[in-house]
Amino acid sequence: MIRAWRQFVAIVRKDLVVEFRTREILLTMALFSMLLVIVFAFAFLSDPTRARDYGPGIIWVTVLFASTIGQNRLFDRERENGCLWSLLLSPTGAGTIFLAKATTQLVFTLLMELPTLLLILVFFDLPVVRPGAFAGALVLGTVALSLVGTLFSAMLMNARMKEVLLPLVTYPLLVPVVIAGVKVTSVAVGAPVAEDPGTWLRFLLGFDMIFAVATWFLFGRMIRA
Amino acid sequence: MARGNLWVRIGIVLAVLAAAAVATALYLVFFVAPLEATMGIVQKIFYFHVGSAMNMMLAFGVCALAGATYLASRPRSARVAAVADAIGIATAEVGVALGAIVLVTGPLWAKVAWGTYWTWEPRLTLSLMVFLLFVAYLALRAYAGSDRFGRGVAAGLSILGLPGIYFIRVAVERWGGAHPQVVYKGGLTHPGMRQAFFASVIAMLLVTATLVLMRTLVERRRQQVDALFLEIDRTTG
Amino acid sequence: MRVRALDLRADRVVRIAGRRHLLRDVTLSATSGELVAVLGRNGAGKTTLLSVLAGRQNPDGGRVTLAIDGRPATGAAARAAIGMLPHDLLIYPDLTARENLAFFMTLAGRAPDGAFVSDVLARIGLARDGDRPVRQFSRGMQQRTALGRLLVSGADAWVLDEPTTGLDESGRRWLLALLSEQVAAGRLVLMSSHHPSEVAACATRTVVLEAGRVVLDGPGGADGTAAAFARMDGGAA
Repeated sequence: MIRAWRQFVAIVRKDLVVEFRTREILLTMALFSMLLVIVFAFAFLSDPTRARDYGPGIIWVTVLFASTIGQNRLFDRERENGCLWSLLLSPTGAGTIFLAKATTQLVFTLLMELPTLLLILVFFDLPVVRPGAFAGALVLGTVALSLVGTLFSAMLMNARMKEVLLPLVTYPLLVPVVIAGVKVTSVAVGAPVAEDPGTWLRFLLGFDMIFAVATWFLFGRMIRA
Repeated sequence: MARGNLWVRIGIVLAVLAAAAVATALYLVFFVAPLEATMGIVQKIFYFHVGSAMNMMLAFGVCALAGATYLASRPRSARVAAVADAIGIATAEVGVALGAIVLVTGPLWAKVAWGTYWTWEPRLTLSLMVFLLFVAYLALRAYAGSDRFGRGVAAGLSILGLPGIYFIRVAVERWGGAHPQVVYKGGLTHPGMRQAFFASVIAMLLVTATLVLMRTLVERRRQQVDALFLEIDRTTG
Repeated sequence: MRVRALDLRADRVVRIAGRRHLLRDVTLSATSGELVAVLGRNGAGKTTLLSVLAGRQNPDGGRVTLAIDGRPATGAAARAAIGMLPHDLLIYPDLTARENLAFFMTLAGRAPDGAFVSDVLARIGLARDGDRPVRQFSRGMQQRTALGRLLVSGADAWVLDEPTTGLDESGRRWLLALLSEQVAAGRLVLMSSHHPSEVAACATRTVVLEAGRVVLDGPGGADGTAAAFARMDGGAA
């Protein structure tokens, strides 16, 4: 167990170290998401008084798209040097490798979300009346995105048309996450909706738990063809 | 190849039964079930619409089961894996066809019933999502490689689709909180309507089963042709 | 760390790609203390065979078995025992050589040991450049780093796919000397090459592949190499 933990930490640390030296993925994700926010501002802000109605939706669309881009990049790098195979050929278990990669993806996406959210809150003048729910939805939602996205971006690493296949495959599975996320975020920014954030947060937690087990289990079976 | 011929014979029997069931259902729908008061003849779309939707869900369940069988048997028994793989693609293709039926008949019915072609009503939305999952499955099979690897990815998707569909259903039902909940069964007051409904659901079930079986057999044949080519390559290469 | 006694066997291994065979009924066994040279022309299946033996690919037919100290080993234990050096070197260009080795040491399940890593760096001639990112290295230096990966992992068997590619004369000599040293220490080394002559001196066994089949499996040394040459040249076009 300790060995698996050490291997997990080593992989995550390695990915973070490599990323911080090159900053390619973080910059790509952050720039793309900020540009997307600006485009959304022009697309939706003709009536600023209704920002609370579509602000949450914009937050989740941006997070979803940016995380997809990040996932493709993350495995591009592994593919360049065949390094995913160096991980898989080592005695490290496939499950450990998967969790490490998903964790890296989670960290990158959360880091990307910080400046993006700031930008959205400022441009759209959204108050955060319930910060706990706001943060909770984003963290739980990002976990879900990372789990599903990492599984399939690893599998599709060498596929043709992987840029289209990844969203095609992951978005239907992630729609409930977007629904739940937008519900909670709407309440969290004070939109006049009659929703109970607790229910939706529990929904996200349930999603995360079930998909964490399912993706972790499936990765090993799927990657060793 | 006695076993192959047995399945073909079963398929033919199923096809005949399905044809008979469809004929019976059509008769019941058009000549026995009364015309609905407000919607007239358009209401009759409902019979095959619901039958298709139910069988699409069933097809997804079978696809997921086939996917799980494929991944589990792949390291052990190549033959079981090949059969599971064939069932997987068969159910996905038939599922897409059923989905297309649902997504075309649904709006046609909705336009007359509710005045709008599309409404984010839970069942219709769920059908759309299942359709998309099937499309994603087929896209994976087509583009993620026709080798063992690509098939494994598609199988994984179908398996994840099971909890996926559960969560989609819950989310979509709670999503449009204020939407009018359509209660399908509530409208079937007349026994003639109920008969027509059951008949059409069973007819669609038989049609689905026939198509899935036939497609599976076609896929198995294709696998056998590949195996023959491999055999030639093995001895002459 | 003691080098364990390994017995690696391929038993009628088949590997296919679509309708073609990459490996046809390959039966081969190798034990510790051997340096097996896998020779053959381009497309003969050398890379595929080595991938299957190292566990990077699963056979489509037949089996690969590994015994460590007489007991069968699978899964993580088997992966710990075999180290592979394929064409793509499997090292991270944005990490330094030292960081690469420390990482792979942890991955191999061994407790991190800075002194040991320094030793290995010295042994592969990278003591001075150990703290530069691998991206800045020449091909030869990258190759050495990749070999360092094998050294820190403690693998008892090394599988190398054309490791002399891109090395100059002295690089090649250094590599073959290192490999002979490993074999003398009790490791099993399998390596492929285009050029029988370069492995003439150090191979203890010569295996020639042609169109996915083993056409020659004999002793190494000068005689074995001559036989291999003859087989490769005289093979049907």
